[in-house]
Amino acid sequence: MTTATFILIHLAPGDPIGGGLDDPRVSEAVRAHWRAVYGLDQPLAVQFIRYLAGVARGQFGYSFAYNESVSTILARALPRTMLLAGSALVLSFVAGIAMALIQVARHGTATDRVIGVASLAVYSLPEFWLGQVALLTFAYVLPIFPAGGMVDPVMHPYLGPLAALWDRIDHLILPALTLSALTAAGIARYQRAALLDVAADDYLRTARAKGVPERSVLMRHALRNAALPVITLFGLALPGFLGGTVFIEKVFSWPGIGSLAVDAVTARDYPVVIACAVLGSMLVAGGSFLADVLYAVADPRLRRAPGPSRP
Amino acid sequence: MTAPQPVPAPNPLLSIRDLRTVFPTGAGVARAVDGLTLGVEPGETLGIVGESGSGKSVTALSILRLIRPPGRIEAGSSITFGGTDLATCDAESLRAIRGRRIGMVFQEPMTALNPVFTVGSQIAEVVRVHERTTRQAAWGRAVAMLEAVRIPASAERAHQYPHELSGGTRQRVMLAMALVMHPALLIADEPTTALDVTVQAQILALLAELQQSLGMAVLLITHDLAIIAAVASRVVVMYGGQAVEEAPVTELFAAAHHPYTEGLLRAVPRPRLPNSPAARLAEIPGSVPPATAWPAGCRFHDRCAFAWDRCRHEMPPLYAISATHASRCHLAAEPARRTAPAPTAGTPS
Ligand SMILES: Nc1ncnc2c1ncn2[C@@H]1O[C@H](COP(=O)(O)OP(=O)(O)O)[C@@H](O)[C@H]1O
Ligand SMILES: [Mg+2]
Repeated sequence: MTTATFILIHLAPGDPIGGGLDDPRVSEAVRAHWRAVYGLDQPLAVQFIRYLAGVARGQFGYSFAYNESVSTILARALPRTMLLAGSALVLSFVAGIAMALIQVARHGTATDRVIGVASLAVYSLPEFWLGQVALLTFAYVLPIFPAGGMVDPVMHPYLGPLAALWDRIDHLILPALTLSALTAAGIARYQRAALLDVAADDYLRTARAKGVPERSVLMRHALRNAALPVITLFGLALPGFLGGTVFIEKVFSWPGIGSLAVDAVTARDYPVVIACAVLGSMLVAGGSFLADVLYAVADPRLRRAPGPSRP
Repeated sequence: MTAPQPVPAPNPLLSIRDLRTVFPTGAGVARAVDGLTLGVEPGETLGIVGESGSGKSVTALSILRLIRPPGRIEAGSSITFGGTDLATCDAESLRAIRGRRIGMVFQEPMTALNPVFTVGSQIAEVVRVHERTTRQAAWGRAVAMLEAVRIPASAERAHQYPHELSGGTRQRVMLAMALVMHPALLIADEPTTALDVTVQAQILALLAELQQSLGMAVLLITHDLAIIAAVASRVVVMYGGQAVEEAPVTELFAAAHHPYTEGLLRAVPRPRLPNSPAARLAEIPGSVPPATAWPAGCRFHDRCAFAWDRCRHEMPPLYAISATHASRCHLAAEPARRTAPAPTAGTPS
């Protein structure tokens, strides 16, 4: 992953010195000086080895654009992304599973079909388009929410603790809703199919024969058994979800890893670009590990060593 | 075999009247149960026997209204249990009877238990949905019930998941689940069919013993007449979604009237010798037709060695053979016809 990003970005024309110091009055000698300072005059292989050695020590190098160490920049941006992506992820699962439960409880009715069509429509929209439409609609045409950023740039420092908290939440709602809409729609479709898949299973008939209320038959017995495909979806959908986060951060001027990555690509700020890519792949790997753990929690048959193979 | 049974009391525990359960299918409407009437007395064991496809399981599921749509119980059917018509009562009254007054055990112990919950919690759940009680008290009842169905180390077993248990143990768990509320009626649909012979005998012995100690009635469904002989006091023979013969067990084995029952009796090793090595002595020719296309007239006529014109056009009523014995066969009206072709030489028309 690291290697691929490193090679890709160096294959692209231009370098950070050209980008930052492209004023024609800057002499070639000055550029050469700065290239030497940052090691950009070395052969690519040498640059790469040096870089890998840094990453192994937990150092991602130094940002040309920010004049700060990449680790410092990431440490500032990561919690913001975690806040946005985390709330959107929780929201998507809660909303997606709730929609599926309603659909299955009213299977074959108009409610089922309306939710089904709506989630299919949302599911087929591109994130950035959805983001821009949401921003236009709910921040400009109907100014219910702020138009971007994490806090009110003017008033925030003067607000009391409760008002400051509300200011943060107010800024979070629209981007989090927009980011979760797509994933929620996907989860709803998957969860509905998974629930209908177990609907004819014998143990649900047993639960009904025991006198378990229909609500618990669905929400306890069926949902626990229909969790596995959705956990799989979580592992598979995480890269796409993180991709969506990049777009949404950019559209809503959310100063997290996504905005950082987009700006860094534009500025050819290699160390930041690579660090963002590495971080992204670590999140994806972490996500599939988490999915594996959840799998074992959800299905006791997978807890023992030579268990049956997964569906 | 047990002694002859008394005449059915006028006040049965469960009374099914003209039950019709149908499933719309691509091939037409499957009339799986089509006009079934039967009663279960308090404390008795009523056996229902018949080949696969004769409507036994659909009957069992209909009693607790467990038929999944688009299948449905047709209007006009009634299933009276303790003054409530289960076919039409509201969902909450039905729920209060399921698992509490009527317990149910299914054929497939592999799939009937929920794979993601411990067996203890699945038994305790029955207590918790019917009684206001603490988690611990319900768990205690579950463990005690596991002990009552003779599962050793029941306190530890309660923490296990279904996939960690053998088929026989799972069926004991199903029994514990069905009996934990001490129901007045247990419906057991082929409870031992999926088990091997030794385990089968153990489970049946356990069932008989629990029935004694709890004083409940049992509706035992099976395709195996040897099991009927071993545990039932009365028996209803089903074919084509209908009762075709009904009699006390002794009378059925001594003097079966319906040619279908005679065929079933010939098709199994002698009931008095359940361990007899002799395999099937004779098969009933042909097979059960699909429920979408029952033959006109007597539903058994195209497999019957005695069938004549009347059988092909007129559905026989349940003729009374004696006060406790009934048969849905025109031979009851025209007994002379029984001398016709030898039953063993019979071929499907
Ligand atoms: N869900 C269903 N949909 C369509 N037909 C069904 C359904 N369940 C049962 N049947 C039909 O009803 C008939 C009786 O089935 P069943 O009661 O399971 O027989 P048994 O238990 O006596 O073997 C069969 O012909 C079967 O195909
Ligand atoms: Mg059956």
